[in-house]
Amino acid sequence: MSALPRLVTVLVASIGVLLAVQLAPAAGALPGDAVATLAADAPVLGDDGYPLTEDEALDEAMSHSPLRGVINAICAVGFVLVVIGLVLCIIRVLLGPGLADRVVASDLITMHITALVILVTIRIGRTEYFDLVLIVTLISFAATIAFAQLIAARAADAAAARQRQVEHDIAHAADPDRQPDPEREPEPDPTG
Amino acid sequence: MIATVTHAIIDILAALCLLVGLAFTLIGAIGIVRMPDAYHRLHAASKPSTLGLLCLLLGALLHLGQFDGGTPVVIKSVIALIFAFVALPTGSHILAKAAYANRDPQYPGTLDEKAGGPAGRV
Repeated sequence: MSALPRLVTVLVASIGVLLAVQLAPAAGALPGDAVATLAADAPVLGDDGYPLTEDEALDEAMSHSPLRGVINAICAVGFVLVVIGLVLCIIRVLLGPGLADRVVASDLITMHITALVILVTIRIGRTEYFDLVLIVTLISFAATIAFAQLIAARAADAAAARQRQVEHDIAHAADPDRQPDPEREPEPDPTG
Repeated sequence: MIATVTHAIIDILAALCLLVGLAFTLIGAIGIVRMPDAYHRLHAASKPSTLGLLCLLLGALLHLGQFDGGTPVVIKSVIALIFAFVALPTGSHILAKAAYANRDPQYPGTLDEKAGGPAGRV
């Protein structure tokens, strides 16, 4: 099966999902968006008389979430874990003996980037980076399919070469007067 | 009061989801370094990453969905979840088939599909 119909299907599905996202109601904004706008226009004074930093204003705006501090801590730990995972995946991309190993590792790298985007969205409380989750997932799926097609095409070439070799051997084994093929390795001597 | 308790429960669920998702993400990354051949690596990478992405998106959905402007995040999370659950296993399956057709080397203890025993011993 050729690669083109599959890739076209993937592209059409991707465009459809992106259109669905754009048509979805963009109802309002998260507290972080409002904080960013406020900080640019008119700084809000805190209890101590100094203007609130963006972090303090964000905590203020999200204060009705009682475990906001715990989730901030989880995000801080999560950044470290995801970066460790990214380093491990890059090690596998560099080491991996076959193309399939590298493709699996790069697929996992895109998954780590998705995790990073989700953590950043939760931490800063803004919606603007969240589209990256969809886009990175779509691109990683298309890349995986394309690389799988490449590996399958190489496998088909190798299988055809093996088949030709077998037919060549059979044809020459049936010939009693055959000359030894100068390009092939000499057969090992069974007595020695 | 009731609203505070509801928010607290939602936040606890979100924190649990985030922790589980991060754990699965790290397990997938460790597995891809530790496993011996391409098929084991696919197994180690695709399953934890699917479940890890599910948990992380659920955490974001639960935590950010309780704020006023959280609707776009909820919608995009659900779309990304549906797409990821269709796309990630499909990609892994196609990649495994391609690697098998390419005769990528197998771990010696792999069960042979015809003999039903370890491939290294038959």
